[in-house]
Order: sequence, then structure tokens, then C-alpha cells
Amino acid sequence: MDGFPHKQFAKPAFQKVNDHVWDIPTTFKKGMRVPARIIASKPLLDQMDLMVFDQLTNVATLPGIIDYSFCMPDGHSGYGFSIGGVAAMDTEKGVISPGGIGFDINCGVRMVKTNLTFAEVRPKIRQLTDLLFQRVPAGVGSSGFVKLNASQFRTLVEEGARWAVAQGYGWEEDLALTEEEGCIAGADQEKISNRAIQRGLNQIGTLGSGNHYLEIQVVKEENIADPAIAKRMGIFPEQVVVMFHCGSRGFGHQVATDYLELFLSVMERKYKIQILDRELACAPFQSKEGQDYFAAMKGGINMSFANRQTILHRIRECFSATFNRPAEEMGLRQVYDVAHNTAKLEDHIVQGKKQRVLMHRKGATRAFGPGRKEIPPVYRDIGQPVLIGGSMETGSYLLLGTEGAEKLTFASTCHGSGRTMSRTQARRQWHGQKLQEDMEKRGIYVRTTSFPGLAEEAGGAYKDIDEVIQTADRAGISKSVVRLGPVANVKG
Amino acid sequence: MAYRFVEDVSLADVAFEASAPSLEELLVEGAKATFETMVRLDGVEPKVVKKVRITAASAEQLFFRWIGELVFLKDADELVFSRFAVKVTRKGKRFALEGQAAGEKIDPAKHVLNVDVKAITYHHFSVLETPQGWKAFVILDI
Repeated sequence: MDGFPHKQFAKPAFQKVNDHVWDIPTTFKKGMRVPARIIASKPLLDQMDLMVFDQLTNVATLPGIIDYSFCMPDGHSGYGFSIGGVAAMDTEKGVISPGGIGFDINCGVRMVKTNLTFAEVRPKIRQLTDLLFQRVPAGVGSSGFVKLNASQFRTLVEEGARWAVAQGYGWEEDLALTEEEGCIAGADQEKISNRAIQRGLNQIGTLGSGNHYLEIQVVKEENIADPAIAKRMGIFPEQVVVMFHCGSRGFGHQVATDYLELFLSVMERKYKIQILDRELACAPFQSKEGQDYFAAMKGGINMSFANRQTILHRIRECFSATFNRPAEEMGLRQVYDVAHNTAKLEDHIVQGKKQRVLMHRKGATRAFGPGRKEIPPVYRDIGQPVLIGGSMETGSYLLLGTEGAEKLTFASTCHGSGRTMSRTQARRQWHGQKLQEDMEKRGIYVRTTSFPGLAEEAGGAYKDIDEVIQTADRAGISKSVVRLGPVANVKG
Repeated sequence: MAYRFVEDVSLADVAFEASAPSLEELLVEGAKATFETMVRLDGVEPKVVKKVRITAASAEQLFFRWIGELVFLKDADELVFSRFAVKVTRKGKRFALEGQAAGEKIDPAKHVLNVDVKAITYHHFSVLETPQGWKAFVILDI
């Protein structure tokens, strides 16, 4: 079978800019309009599979791309863009591509703090996790408790997390602490198919599967990198926090699929755009198709904000039921919510001048430095919180965005640890049930709907999260506040 | 007539290749590979039958839309399927498919679930007719 040319990818001759920045010049591949730029330590660069560089340099051929096709330190191969792929597009001459966002529109991470210590939570950790497992559905085709008709769902995709809070699923303050305040302007439900609506109708309040999870984590004093900032953000030693990772579920997947097919049908015929991978299907941003997708994709962003908002509500209910106290009393307050699969209009400095650009981030997190108006007032002087979900065995991070990121990567940083091993290989190497037992011995209680799925997410299948974060730190694209260690996990 | 999962192709996703004497059988193999990614097929009883009708301008588009429709039904109707039947007719350059997928409501207590498939992708996607029969290469987004 000749289906796949994986082994044939050429290894680029990297141009070293410094210890954490590597370029691939435009001479590497015909049609490259800009160089590719990889933010990685040498060990991380060496770990990246060759397809990453092929995908990065394919992205560099897209019309309207500005400065560089970027790869973040956790980058690995995907489809269309690599995971960890970032591209700024000119809004007049550039394109929009679903392959630069991903099928899981607004896949993202939300973090919630508590005023509880691990000593207080530990005696009930199993009870709490079992309840979360029951009340925040995960896994293949799971459905949630929110029952909506199509018309209500169409309202939801325009209102995002605001819709959820208006239903009583959350607190007003949660909105201010969510990227785009939980509702991106310009979502248009009329640009969304009935199939997408049908597919997502029962999925509000669900995690999904794959690398999606809900985790209870503990702050250790030795893992606080910046004690003053941590204190300022309400983080203290032995504190219990909750982090979860999910997206727009089948709804977003269908929006992406619908427009991928549409773009493939018009791209060459109508707009004469040639691409190197059909997953880079695109349309001029200013075209009808481009604007329609942008408005529909924003519906995906909002659906995902509503989904994470509803899950936060369930988390508060579960804590309340387990500890028999109101969530307010236990300080279950949102720290922040980030999106890492999006395209958004942002102002950046391009060749010395402020310019509005279309930022594609696929498996990459926005990382604005201090002062940006997009950052909630409570954090504006310290930088935007960045939430990084590591593997379920190792740990996760709370970081801050930096001015350095604005200068180097259009305000972008990593989003996770990044896989180094295929799912099949991981399933051969680990056995789900055994892994669950081993993790429990190490103090991590895991509930899952799928043991094979659990094995695929073993910590060993991922890069070293600490190396990824240190690289982002040293490259100056984000700075570490605290590393969070897992004590319980609900896996899809 | 077979399919097999291919490693080290797409680290975070799932790739498979399938081959069959006819396009119809290839479509059945593709559907089985897609659902085996999500669930152990021998545990899914054919209690519910969904009918699928698709038209397309090429065999490749037909394959893409067939898998896309089954993934859609998985979420919209909360079903997993284990048995498939497909009839394809050609009118000039157009392909028309009438298919059936049989399965049951997703039940985590009964089914051995794996990982969810978000979508079929166009990444290195190919459906080819060769002298030996039909072949497909597919990457599913997980």
C-alpha cells in the first residue's frame, strides 16, 4: 500500500537563531512565502517527528501569512497545520483555514481554585471523583443533563457561556474570567447547518474522549515558581484546584467538516488557490465563504465556552454534595479559561506598525503580556493566565503571558505537553487496568469510560512537560507561576 | 478484504488502510475500522438499523461522506454500529450509495469503548481502484 509517504520527509537544515528558536528558510520548499520558526530546546526539536516540519512549511505557503509559520515547543504532527501551529494572516490578502483551527473548535482548558487543602479533601477524594465521573459525562458519544431543542441550541451558540450563566449554570464572575468573556462577538447561527446542531444537541456538559479530562490537582510549595504572583492569584501551598480540558464536541467537529467540504469545492475553482495538503483547504478571509466560516466557527467557540461553563457548574455541585457545604464557602472560583484551537482577530505589531491580523492557533494558547485590554482587569498588570494541561500522570501548569510572546510569536505559547508516541504503540506498551492500579498506588485516583483509551493517554506517551514549560519560559513566550500535581482524574 | 491500523503516522490520531475487491466492500471495511476505533465491535448487537443515502462526485468523496455520516449518527443518535451493508450505483460520473448501519445505543456498562472519532480527515486521504481491487488510506481525527 502506497498510501503514506511518512518515511520520505526530508529533515530540514535548521538555522539556529538562539538556543530556543530555529528557522527553516523559504528555500526548503517551493512556494514558501515566509520561513518556518520553531520554538524548542534542542532535545525537543530532535524529538519532533519529520511530518511536523513538512506541515509547518506547507502552512508557510498559504496566501497572506505574515512573518513566520510558527511551531510551539509542544508541537507534533497533526493534519493540515501541525499541533502547536500558529499563523498570523493578513485580513485583506490572507486566507482562513479550518485546518489551522482543528475539528475541535475552541478546545481549551479551564481552571478552578478552592480554599480547601489536600488534607481536607483527601478523605473524600474517591467519593468526590466518583461523583464527578457520574455527573460530568465522558467518553464516546456521551450526552449531558441539559436538554435543549434546536432553537434553544441556536441561541446558545450565539451567547456562549452567558447563556449557561443565565440558566443558572455558574456565576456572573466566571464570565469576566473567561477568554472573550465567554462569548465571542459575531457568531452567526444562520451559518451553521442543522446537522451540526443535531450532532451537538445533547452534548452540553460533557467532556468527550481522547486527551480530554477533568483533574483534581494539588499545589506543592516546592512547585510554586513565583510565590508573589501565585499569592496574588489566590494560589497557596497544599491547595486543591480543578482543571479540565474539552471543546465543542460533535457540534464543532461538524461545523469544521461542513466547511472543509465547502472550501475544497471553491478553493481552486473560484479562488485559484493551490495548497499542498487538502486539510489546508481555505478561502480568502474576505470572501463570502471565508466570512461564513468565521461566523460559524465563532458559534463553535461559544458552544465550547457554554460547555465548559456548564461543567464548572457541575463541579461546584459535586464539591457541595461531597463536603455538604456551599461552593461559595469552599471558594470554588474560576481562575481563567483559555481556548487553544481558534482563529481570532487581534492587534499586533507588524513591521513596526499596529495591524489587525487573523490569528490561527491550533494547539497553541494566546499569551498576552501585561497591559492588553483583552486581559481581565484583575490580571491586566501581570499578564494573561495561560493554562497548560499535561499528561494525566505528570502534572499541569499555570503560566502567564508575556511581552516577549507578543514580540516573538504573535502572543502565542504552548498548550500541553505534546505526544511523542502513537496511540496504538501506547496501547501495546501499557494496559489500561494495570495503569489505573499503578497510578492509584502513586496517589492518583482515576476513573475512565475506556481502559484502552486510558492506556493511550499514559504519561510515557507524552513529552516531558517540564522541558516544554522551561523552553517556553527561556524563549520568553510565557512564564511559569505554578506546577500542579494530579491526585484524581476523570478520563473520557 | 481487510483493514489494518497503521502506526507512527499521526501521533495523536488514528490511521488505517483498507483493501477490498469492490468499492462497496471497501466502504464496509472503512466503516468497521472507524467504529473499531471507538468500540469493540463484537460487543455491539445489531438492534437498530439506520438507512443512509449519499451521492458524490467521486469514489473518494463517497467514502468521505459515508464515514462522515456514520460519525454524525454516532453523536446525533448516540449509536455505535457493528454491521454495515452498502450498495453503490454509478450514473455517469456520479456515485450514489444506499447503505445500512446496524448497531445499538451506546452503553458504557455493556460496550468496551475506546476513543471517540471526531471526524474523517483529508490528510493523506486516498481511495484508489487498482488492478488488485480497491484501496483506501484514512486518518481519523481523535
